[in-house]
Amino acid sequence: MRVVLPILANIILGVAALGFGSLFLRLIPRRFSELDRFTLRFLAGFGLLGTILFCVGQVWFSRLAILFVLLPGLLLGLFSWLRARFDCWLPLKDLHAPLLPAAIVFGVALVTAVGGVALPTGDTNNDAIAYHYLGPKVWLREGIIRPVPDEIRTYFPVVVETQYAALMSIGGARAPQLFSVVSLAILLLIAASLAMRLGLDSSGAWWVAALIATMPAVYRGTYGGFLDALFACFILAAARVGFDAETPADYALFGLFCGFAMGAKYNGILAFLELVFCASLISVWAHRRPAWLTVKSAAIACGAAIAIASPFYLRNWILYECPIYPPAPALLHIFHLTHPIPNVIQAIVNDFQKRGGGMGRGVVAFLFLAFNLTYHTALFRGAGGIGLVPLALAPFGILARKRDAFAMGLLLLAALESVSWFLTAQESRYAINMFVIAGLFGVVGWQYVAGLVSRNARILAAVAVGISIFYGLWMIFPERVEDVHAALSPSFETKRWHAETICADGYDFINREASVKNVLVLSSSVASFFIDKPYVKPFGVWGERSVPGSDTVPEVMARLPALHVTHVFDYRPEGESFQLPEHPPGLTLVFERADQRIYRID
Amino acid sequence: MPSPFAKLLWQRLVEFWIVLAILTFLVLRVLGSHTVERLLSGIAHRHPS
Repeated sequence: MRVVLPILANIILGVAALGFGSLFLRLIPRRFSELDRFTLRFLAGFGLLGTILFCVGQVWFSRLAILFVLLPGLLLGLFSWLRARFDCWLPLKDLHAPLLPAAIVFGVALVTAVGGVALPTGDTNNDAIAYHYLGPKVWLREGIIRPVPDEIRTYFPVVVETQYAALMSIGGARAPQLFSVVSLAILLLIAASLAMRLGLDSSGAWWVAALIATMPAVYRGTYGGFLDALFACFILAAARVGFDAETPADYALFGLFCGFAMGAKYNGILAFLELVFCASLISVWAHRRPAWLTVKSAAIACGAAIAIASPFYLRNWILYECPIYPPAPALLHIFHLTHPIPNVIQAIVNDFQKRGGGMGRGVVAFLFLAFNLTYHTALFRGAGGIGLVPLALAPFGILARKRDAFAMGLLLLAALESVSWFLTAQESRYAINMFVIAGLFGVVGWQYVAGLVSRNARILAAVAVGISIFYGLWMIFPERVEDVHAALSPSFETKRWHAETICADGYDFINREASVKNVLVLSSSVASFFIDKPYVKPFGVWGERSVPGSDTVPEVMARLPALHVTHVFDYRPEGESFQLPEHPPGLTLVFERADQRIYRID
Repeated sequence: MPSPFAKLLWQRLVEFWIVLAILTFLVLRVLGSHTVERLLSGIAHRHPS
């Protein structure tokens, strides 16, 4: 059952997404290839499903509610499958697979699928544990989608996390882990779709997929609860539609994908503006459309994007007084909060600056960006970087497609995104869409070098591709060895759970012991995601205060009766002391480790 | 239509660019990696000069 339910949950979610996606088939241009239509439908389905789950979850969020939402999608998916006479792989028939790149793609996908069955481990330094998985777990327990007061990042837009919740509800904690293989597949499908639009044949599309699958910085965003790959897919899908848009329906679909991107991450707002700018520029310069028509098209796209993303921002505006919550400091001049959180905002801004300035800030640093992204990957948590192909071959791809408006649109988008990424948070995962575009131009460049330049250059280009892929595999596989081992060996999984998860024994005690009904968690370092029971955590990692009027442990302890907790969980981080003194009055020690104590309230 | 000289120059430029990228990659990402550092220091320990 440890494998069956997660697989089943992912299949149900995938079929439901395809079903909901079929509602968009009328909007997807008929001139697009079957592969384009399939990929866009799948992605749009995920976006819509996440948005519906979020809206329903504002009033009711349980397994039953989730099944009610999934059911129409499942029926639509099955209906379209029957209508296609069971030939569900029809859109992929054009992708004749050359052996080598297909073997690489399937190898990476296999490792991702097997490793995806492993239970999540880690601590609050891991974003997935800290908030991507925490939100869904708490929503399911509380029966409603609301931010978790002790983790400010659960106020972010959650179009992907709502789907994690659906997966968790059906398939347990392993199911969203396994979703990584779905994320990877969609990313490679949209990359193949763009590759074919750029004029590559099916072999070229497979090589694009192989290169992108083996880019360590891209791959890192696909697994372990990270939603950056799916976010990148929404942006790339918007580009695929928007840069070739002709009719109002095309622009509406373009806007929908922009909206899904904004519903997945706040970064989507910047991406939306950049996408609309690029699409408008292509419309005016490349297609010579009149300005009024371009403005009208942009307005349609903006309307669709804002409408589809509005639930996430309206919820924050109505309940927390600012559509972007926590508000950026500049927004505080416009939106006045009744309960300001200056310390939390400052902590986030500081972290943003600390984490996101690895590549430097000046003009020279920007000019060296391509070089540093390739060679100095540790500067931006690059997880091994993007391989050699973008730097070695993409310039020739750009040259080869310099007269193609669509290709130039992609290039402009990547350039604008590079600037905004460089000026904001230089975290490798946030740049996946740029890396995909770089990989696309890399393969186009490879084709150009192979076709037009000398035999030596042909050999050198092939060597560059080989090094890139080999290096990527060398970085990726060792990273996933433990996940694969944990998935295949329950005993190793238990061992790893204890080795990698701080307070693992404490979580086991709380989750196992029937008398524990509600826990007070005193340390901000405790990862509440691992607690299966209701809890109160007064102090968050970013300085959040979830118990009003309580800024210190004694103040919280003074309010103990009002909190209705049965136990208190005290954790001592290395080099620090416990929050509570020895033998605190009114509490009985029921569990103890060197760094953990759990008390029963007498 | 580019002249034969321009064509040859372009070919050499493309080759030079790719070679440069590969060599830099080998030096910085492969020889400079912790794995190779450990490997080299292991060899140095086994064969002290």
